[in-house]
Amino acid sequence: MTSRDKILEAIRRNKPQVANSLPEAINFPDPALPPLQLFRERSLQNGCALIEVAPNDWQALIDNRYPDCTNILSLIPEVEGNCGRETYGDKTSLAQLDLLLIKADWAVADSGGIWISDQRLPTRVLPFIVRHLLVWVHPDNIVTRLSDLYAQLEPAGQSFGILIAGPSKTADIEQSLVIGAHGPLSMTIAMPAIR
Amino acid sequence: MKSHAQLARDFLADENRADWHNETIYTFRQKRDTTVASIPEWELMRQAASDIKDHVLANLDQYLEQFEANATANGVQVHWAADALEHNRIVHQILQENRISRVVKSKSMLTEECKLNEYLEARDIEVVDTDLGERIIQLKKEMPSHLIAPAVHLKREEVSKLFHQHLHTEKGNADPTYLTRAARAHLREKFLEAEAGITGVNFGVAESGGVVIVTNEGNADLGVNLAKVQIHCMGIEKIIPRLEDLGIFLRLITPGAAGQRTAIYNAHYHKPRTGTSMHIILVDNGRTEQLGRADFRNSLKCIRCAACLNTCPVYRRSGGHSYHATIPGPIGAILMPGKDLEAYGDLPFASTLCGACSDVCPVKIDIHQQLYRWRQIILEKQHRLSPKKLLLKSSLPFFRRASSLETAGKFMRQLLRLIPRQSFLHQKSIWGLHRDLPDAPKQSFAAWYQQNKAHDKQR
Ligand code: SF4
Repeated sequence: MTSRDKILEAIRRNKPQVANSLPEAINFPDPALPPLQLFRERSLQNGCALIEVAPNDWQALIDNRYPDCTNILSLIPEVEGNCGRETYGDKTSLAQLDLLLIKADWAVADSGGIWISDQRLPTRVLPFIVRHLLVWVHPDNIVTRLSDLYAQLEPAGQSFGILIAGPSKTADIEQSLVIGAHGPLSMTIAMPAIR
Repeated sequence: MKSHAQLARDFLADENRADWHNETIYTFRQKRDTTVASIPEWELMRQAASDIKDHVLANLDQYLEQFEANATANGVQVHWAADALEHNRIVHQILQENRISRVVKSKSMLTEECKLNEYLEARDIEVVDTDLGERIIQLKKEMPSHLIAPAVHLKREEVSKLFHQHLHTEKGNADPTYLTRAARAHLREKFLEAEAGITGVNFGVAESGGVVIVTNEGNADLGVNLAKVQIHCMGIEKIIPRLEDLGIFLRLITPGAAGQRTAIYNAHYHKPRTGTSMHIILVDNGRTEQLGRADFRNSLKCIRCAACLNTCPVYRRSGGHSYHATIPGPIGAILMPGKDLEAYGDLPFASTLCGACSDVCPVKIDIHQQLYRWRQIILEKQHRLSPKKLLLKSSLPFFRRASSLETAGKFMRQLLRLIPRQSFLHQKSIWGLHRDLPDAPKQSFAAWYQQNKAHDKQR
C-alpha cells in the first residue's frame, strides 16, 4: 500500500463519523470609516508612505523621492525606468534593483494590503528583491475587507498572487522592530491626486 | 531527560532573566488584546473558523483528494509522507534528482518536527534557515523556544556575540538594526546561491490546489522565487476548503503573536514558474492517529498563531525550552503526548488549568480541557499509589462521618499549634517547598455557625 493510500485509509477509519456542514458566510458589520480613508489609515500603520501623484508629475516625483536609486524597473506606463526585460532572468541584475514601480490589482482597506497577481509580474521575485517598492493604487480598486478581495478571485486558474501590507519587517532581535528585513526597505502607496 | 518542572526550575534560577522573559511575552499578549478588541467581528470569525476546521477534519480524506487533484492539474507534484523519515527522504530525493546541494528554508515547524536539517546535512546538503530568528538559533544550535519568535529567549548581546563570531559583525555592537542588516547581507548571498527553496505551509486550499504562506520578512518568497525548485512541506491538517475561507483565517492567524492585524506577506502559490518545478509534500507523522482520539482530535485545528503561548502564565515563566519539545506551550502540551506519552507525559502538568489559552485560541480549541483529560489518562496509567493519592485515601474515613470529621478537625487544630513548622517545611519536603502551613483557627466552621446563628436569633 502506498503512503497515500495508508494516510487516506487511516483518515477514513479515524475521522469523526458525523460531519457538520460549512458555516454560512459571515454578515460583517460595517467598518467605522469609508474604504478609502480606512485604507489610508491602515497603510500608514503598516509602515507605508502615502503620496498623491498627478499624471505629469511622475518623473519629478521619482527624481525627488529616490535620488539614490539608479536601477529602476517600471511596470507602469507613466514612468519609463532604465531596467528592462534583460533583468528578469538574471539574478545579479535582479539583486541590484533599487526601485520597482507596479500597479496593484486590488487594495484591501481593512488590512491596508495590496494584491498583485502573476499577470502583472514578469518574474515573481520582483516585489521581494527590490530595495524600494512603489505601488500604484486606484481608489476604485479598494475593497473593504479581505473576504471582498476573495470574492473577486476565481479559484480555478490561480497561478501566483501576493498580498503585501508594508515594507518587510522583523522583530526577532529582542522584539525591536526593524523595517527592512529581507524584502524591501520601504513601500510607498501612490494614488491619483484629488483636485 | 529532564522534566518540565526541572527545566523550569533551571530557567527560574536566573531571576532577572525570567522576569525579562515574562514581561516580553506579556507585551505580546497585551498587543494581541488591543488588536482583538478593535475587531468587532472577532468572535464571529472565531466561530466560523472553528466550524470550518471541524468540517474539514470530518471530511479530511475528500478534501485532501480534491487538493491533490487540483494541485496536480496546476502542474504541481504532490507527494505523500506517512512519517518524518519518509518526508525527509522525499525532500532529499527531489534535491538529488535536480543535483542540488544548497537549499534555503523559511520558517517551518513541520520541518523542525521532522528534523529535516539534520537529515539533509548528514547527506552533504547545505540548509540555511532564512527567517532571522530561525537563523539565529540555527547558528546557536538551539531549538526554537516560541512558535513565531524562535529566538525570543535570547538577548541582543547574545545575538551580537553570535553574529560577531559567524558573520564578523563589529564586536560589542548590539544594535538590532545593525545586526538585522548584517543578517540581510549575509542571507542575500545565500538566496542568490540556493538552487531550492523550502517552506512550510499555513493553508492549503482544496478547491484551488494552492498553498498560502504567511510571513513578515520576505524570506520565504525570496527563497522560493529565486530557486529552480520550490518545495512546500505541509501537514495534512492544514487544508481549508475554499479560497474565500482565507478571508477569515488570514485575519485570525496574526493577532495572536504580537497583535499584528495582518502579515506583511500573504503569498498564494498555485503553479510553478515557467522552467521550474513545484512540489508539495503532504505529511501525516501522527496526525491521523490524533484524529482518531475523540477527546484530542480538535487540537488538529491549530493554526500555530502562538496566542496560547503568550497568554499562558506557565509558558511566560518557564520559557519555551522547558517544554523540551518542538512545539512548546499549551498547544505543545496537548499535541506532544499524542506523539509519545512516555517522553512528554510531564507536559499536561505544566499548566494551572486557568483556561486563558482556550479563551484566546482563534479556532476555539478547548486546550485546557484537553490538558485535564491527558492528566486523567496519565494518572490512570500509573499503577503505583502516589503520596497524594495515599493521603486522600487515608483521610477518606474521616470525611465520611460528620462526627469523625469533627474529632479529626479538633485534633488537627491542636496539632497545628504544637508541631514545629520546620518538620513540614524543610528543604526535602516536596509539599513544603512552595507552601506554608495555615494558622490554626480557634474553632471549626460548624461551631462558629452554631454560635453566630444563636446571636442572630437573639437580635
Ligand atoms: S492552539 Fe489555538 S491559540 Fe494555540 S497556537 Fe494553535 S491556534 Fe493559536
